[in-house]
Amino acid sequence: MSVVADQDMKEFKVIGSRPIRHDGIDKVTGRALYGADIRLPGLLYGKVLRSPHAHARIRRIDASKALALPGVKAVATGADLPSLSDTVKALGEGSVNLKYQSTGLLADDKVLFHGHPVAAVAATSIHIAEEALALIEVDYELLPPVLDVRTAMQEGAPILLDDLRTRELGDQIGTQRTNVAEHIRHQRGDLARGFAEADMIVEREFTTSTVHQGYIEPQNATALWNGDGLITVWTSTQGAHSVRSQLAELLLLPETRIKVIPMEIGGGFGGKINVYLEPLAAILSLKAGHKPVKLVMNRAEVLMATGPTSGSVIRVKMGVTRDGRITAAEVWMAYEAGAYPGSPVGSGMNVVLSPYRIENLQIDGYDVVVNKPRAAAYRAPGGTNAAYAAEAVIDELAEKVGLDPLAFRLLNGAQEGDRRGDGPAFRRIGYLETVRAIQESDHYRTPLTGPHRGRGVASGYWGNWGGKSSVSASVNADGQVNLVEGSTDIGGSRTSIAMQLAETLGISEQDVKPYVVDTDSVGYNDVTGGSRTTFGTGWAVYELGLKLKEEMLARVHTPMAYSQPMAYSQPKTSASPSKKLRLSSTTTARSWRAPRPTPRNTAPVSPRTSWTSKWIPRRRAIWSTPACWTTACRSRPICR
Amino acid sequence: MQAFDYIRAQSAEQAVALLSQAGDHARVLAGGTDLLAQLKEGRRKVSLVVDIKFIPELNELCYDPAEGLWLGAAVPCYRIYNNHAVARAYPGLIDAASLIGGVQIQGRASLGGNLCNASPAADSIPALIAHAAICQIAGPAGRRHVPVETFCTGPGRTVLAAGELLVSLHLPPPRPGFGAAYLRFIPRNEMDIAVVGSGASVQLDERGETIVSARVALGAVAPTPLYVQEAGAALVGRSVADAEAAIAEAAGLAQAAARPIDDMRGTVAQRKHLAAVLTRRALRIAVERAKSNLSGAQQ
Amino acid sequence: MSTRKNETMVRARINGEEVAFLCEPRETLLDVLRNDLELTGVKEGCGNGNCGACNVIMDGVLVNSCLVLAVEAEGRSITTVEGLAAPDRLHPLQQSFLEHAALQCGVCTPGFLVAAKSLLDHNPHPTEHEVRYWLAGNLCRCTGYDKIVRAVLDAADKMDGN
Repeated sequence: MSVVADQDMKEFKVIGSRPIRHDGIDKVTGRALYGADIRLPGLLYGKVLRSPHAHARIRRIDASKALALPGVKAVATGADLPSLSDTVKALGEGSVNLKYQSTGLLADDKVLFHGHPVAAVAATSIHIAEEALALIEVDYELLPPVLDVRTAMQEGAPILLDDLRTRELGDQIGTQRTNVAEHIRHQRGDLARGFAEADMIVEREFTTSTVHQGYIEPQNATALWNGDGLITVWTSTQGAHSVRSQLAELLLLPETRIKVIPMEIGGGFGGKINVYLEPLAAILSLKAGHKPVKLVMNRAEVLMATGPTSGSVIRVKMGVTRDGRITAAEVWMAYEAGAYPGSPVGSGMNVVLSPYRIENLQIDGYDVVVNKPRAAAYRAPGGTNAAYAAEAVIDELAEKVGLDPLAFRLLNGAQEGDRRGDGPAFRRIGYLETVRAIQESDHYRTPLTGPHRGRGVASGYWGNWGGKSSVSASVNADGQVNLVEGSTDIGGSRTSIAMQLAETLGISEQDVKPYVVDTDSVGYNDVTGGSRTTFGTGWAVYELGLKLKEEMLARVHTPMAYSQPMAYSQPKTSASPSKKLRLSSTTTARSWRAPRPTPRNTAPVSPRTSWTSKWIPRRRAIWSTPACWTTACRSRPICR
Repeated sequence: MQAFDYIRAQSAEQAVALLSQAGDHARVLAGGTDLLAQLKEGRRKVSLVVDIKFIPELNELCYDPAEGLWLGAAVPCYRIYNNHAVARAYPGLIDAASLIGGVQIQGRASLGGNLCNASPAADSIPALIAHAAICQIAGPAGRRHVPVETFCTGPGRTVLAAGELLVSLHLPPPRPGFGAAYLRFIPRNEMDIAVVGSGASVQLDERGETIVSARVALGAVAPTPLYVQEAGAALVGRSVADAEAAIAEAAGLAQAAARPIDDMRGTVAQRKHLAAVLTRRALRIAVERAKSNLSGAQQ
Repeated sequence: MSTRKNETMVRARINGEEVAFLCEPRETLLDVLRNDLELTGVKEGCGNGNCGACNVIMDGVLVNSCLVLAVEAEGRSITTVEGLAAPDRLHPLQQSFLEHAALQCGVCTPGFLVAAKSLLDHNPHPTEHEVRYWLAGNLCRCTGYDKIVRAVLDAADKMDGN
C-alpha cells in the first residue's frame, strides 16, 4: 500500500503567511500567565539574602532571629543543598560544573560576587520575608575583589576558587592556584612565515564590557515539594526539561520525581536557561513543611546576580599582502567567566576568524574567573565581541591596502572546503554569493549624500544548533489537531511550529491548537535557544505530520479495502474527487468571538471516505527527532 | 518595603506638625517617583509618610499676568505643561517639565519634589533658577522665602530644616521681551538623567535691542545645581543684534564655573564641553523667544 | 493569612467596577492590583518607573502603578489592561497589536497597550514622532519598537474611521 501526497513543496500555503498568533488574545488582554502570576493555596513568599560584598569569606551565618520572626516558615542556607562533586553538565547553550552551580545558588564558605545568594527565607508575606532577611546575621571576612580579566590573570592576583587549576590545551591540568580555568588553542600553518610574507600588519586590542540580557520579566520560581516526595515547579524558563535536569542534579533526585511547568516567559535572550531560584524554592518548600513557595527577583537582583555576557579583552593581529591577501592571523582572547568557570570563549574562538580563508593562524582563548555573577548565554554567546574585534581589524586592513570592504572579502572570504578557525571544513555556506549580492544591491551602490553618513560592512559566523525536540498531536473527530510541544514559547514559536504542522497536514494553522506543556506531558525537549526552535521543533512536527497522514490513510484504507492508492489533498481542493481527503472543513477563527461551528451540511468529504470517530479514534503519535541534526546544522554561518 | 504609617495632610500646618513630631523618620510624599524608589531600595528609614497632594495650596497652579505663577509644590509636571497660559509665559519651565522621565513619570512627578530631592542633575532646577523662582517654606516657626538657587546645599540636601515643608514656588511674571529655555544632554532622546543641563533666561528692553538682564544655571556639573551669576552679568547691556559674541562669552563663563566629576554618565572634559555648548544654545533659544515676545507674554 | 500592619480600607473604581480592598500603606498599587485584585495583566518589570510594564490609567492620567501607593488610590478611577476590551470584542489597539505582530514575549505588552490607550485618549491623531515620545517610558526588549509604533498608528487610523 503506498501513499501519494500531492503537496508541491514550492507552493506553501501556510508557511509565509502572517497569521494571528495562537497566544495573542491572552497576551493582549493580560490573561496570559507568566511565572510571577502564579497563585496557589497556602502559598509562601520567599526572598533571597544577597552578599553586599564582591569577594568575602563567610565566617558565620546566624538565622535564629529570622526564624523567630512570626510568619517565617523556613530559612535555607548553602548547608541545605547537597554537596556535589566536580561534574560538568551541558546545558544546551553552555555548560556548567555542578559543584560550582550549587555554590553559586547558595554560597558555601565564600561569596564571589555582589549579590551572591547567602540565605533564603520563606514567610507568609513578602514583607515578612524581607524583614526576616534583615535579621539574618552574616559575619564576612572581606577579601580583595578582582573585576577584570587583566587583573585576574596577573601573578599574585587574589584567587577566587582555591581548588581551581588551569586546564591547559585540552588535558594537562596546572598545578598552581589560579583564576584561569582553561586555556584553549587553535593553530594551523606557520604563523612566523605567514607574518613574514605580509606587507602590512595590523594589531589592535579591544576591551568589551559585561552586558546583561535585560529581559523585561525578572526571574521567578514557585515550587511545591510535596509530602509524597514529588516536586512541582512553575517557572519562566527557556527550557522546562533543562530546569528539570538541573534540579535533579543539584538536589540529587531522579528526574522522574520532578515536574516543571513552564509558564509564559517574558524574554530570556539566553539568560533564562540556568536555574537561579528553582532549587531555593524547592528546598524552602521542603523545609516549610511541603508548602508551595514563590520567589520572584526584583530588577536589582536580576542585574546584580543573574548571568550577563562575558566582558572580554581581545587582541587581533593580522598580516596582509599589498594586493590584499591575508597571510596570517593571531588572536588572543580572555573572557570573564564570572565567579565560576564557563565563559563562552570557546564559541568566541569559533567565530573570530571563521569568515576568512587563512592558512596560518593561531587563536588562544582563556576562560577567567572574576568577582561577577557567572556568565550566561546571550544571543550568540561569546560571538559578538569576537566578531567585533576581528571585523574592526579587517576594516582597517582593507582600508590600508585600498580595497573596498566587499572586494577585500571576495578575495579572502571562506567558501566550501575552507576550514574554520577552529578546524572543521565548511560545507556550502553562500558567503561569497552574499557578498556579490551586496555589491549589486542599491543599498550598497546608492551614493552617499550629506554629512555624517557612511556605510558599514561586517561579516560574522554563527552555527545553528539542532538539538532534540519531541512533539505529539491528537487528531480530533472534527479534523482539528491538538499539538503538544515542549519548546517554551519566547516570541511566537507556538504559531511558527503549528504552521509547519498545518502545512504538512494541509490544514489551516488555526486548526492546529498548540500547547506548551509540562515535563510530564511531552517527551524531552532541549531549550528554546541557539536559534533552534523553529527549525528543530519545526522538523519534529513536520515528521509528525507525515506520520499522522500515513497513519490516517492506512486506517482509512484498511476498513474500506481500497485497491488503489489514496491521495491526500490541501484544503482548497475540497470539491475535488472522492479519492482526495481533507482533514477539516472548519473555517479559520481569528476573531475575538468564538469560532462558529461549521454547519454540518457543508462537510466536503464524500460519505464514502469521510472519517468518523468510529474509524479514526483520537490518535496520539509521539515522534522524537533524530539527533543527527546537531552535526548536520552546526556549520552554517550567518553572513551579515 | 519597610512598614510605615500614611497620612493625608489637610493643611501645610498639619503637615509641618506631623513632620516635626516624627523627626528624621518622616518623609513627604508628592508624586512619589523618587520617594517610592528610595523606600524600595531601603535607602531611607521611614516610619511616617505624609501625603501632601491633598493640601489645596500645595496643589495650586495659578498664573496671573500681573502677579506671576504660584506653583504648588505637589503639582505634577503634566498639569504645568498642559496649561497653555503657563506654557506661553514660562517656556524654560515647560522645557524641563516635559522632559523629566516619560509621560508616566510626568503624570505624578512634581517640580517641588524634583527640587526637594536635590539631585545635582535635576532637570527642573536650572530652569527654575533661570526663571528666578522663590521658594515658600512652611515650618514650625512660620513661613519663610528663599531664592531657588540657594535651596539645594548638596546632593540630596536642602535648606529645609527639621519639620519644614516646601509649600510652593513663585515665579515672577514675565515682562514683554522675556525668554527662557532649558536644554540637557543625554545619550538617548528620552528617559535619562542629564549628563549636563543648562537653563537660561534673558530680558530685552522694550524695543528688543538690548539685553537688560540674564540668568544662567547649570545642572550635573557640581554638587548642587549651579547659578552662574557672572554668565548672566556678561550679557547685560549687550546688543541683541550682536548677541552671538555676548552669548559665546557667557558660555565660556558657564564652562569656567562648571566643576564636574567623572562618573558613569560622563567625564569632566565632556561635561565642561557640554556646559558651554548647552549654555550657548539655551541662550540663543531664550533670545529668540524673547524677541518673539516683545509685545508681551500676557496674552 | 499573613499578618498585616496598619491595614487601611481603600475604595476605588477599577475597570469600571467599584471595589474595596484592604492594604498596608507600604503596598504599592501594583502589589494590590496583582496580588489582591488578581489583575495580573499588570506586570512588574523594574519596580522603579523605568520600564512601564505596570502602567495603568488613574483618573485619566498614565502612571506607573509600581510608584503609586495603594492607599493613594482611594476614590480614584483606574484602568488596567484587563479593562481595555469590551465583552465581545478587543479594543482596536489590542486587535492592531495582534495584526501587526507588535509583541513577542508579551510581558511588556499590557503596559504598552495602556500607555497607547492613554495617548489616543489625549491625542486621537498622533504623529509617529508623538507616538515614539509618548511610549518612551515603556521598554520592550524583543520587538525593536517599530511594529508597536505602526500598530498604534494603525489603530488610531481605524478608530478614526469608526
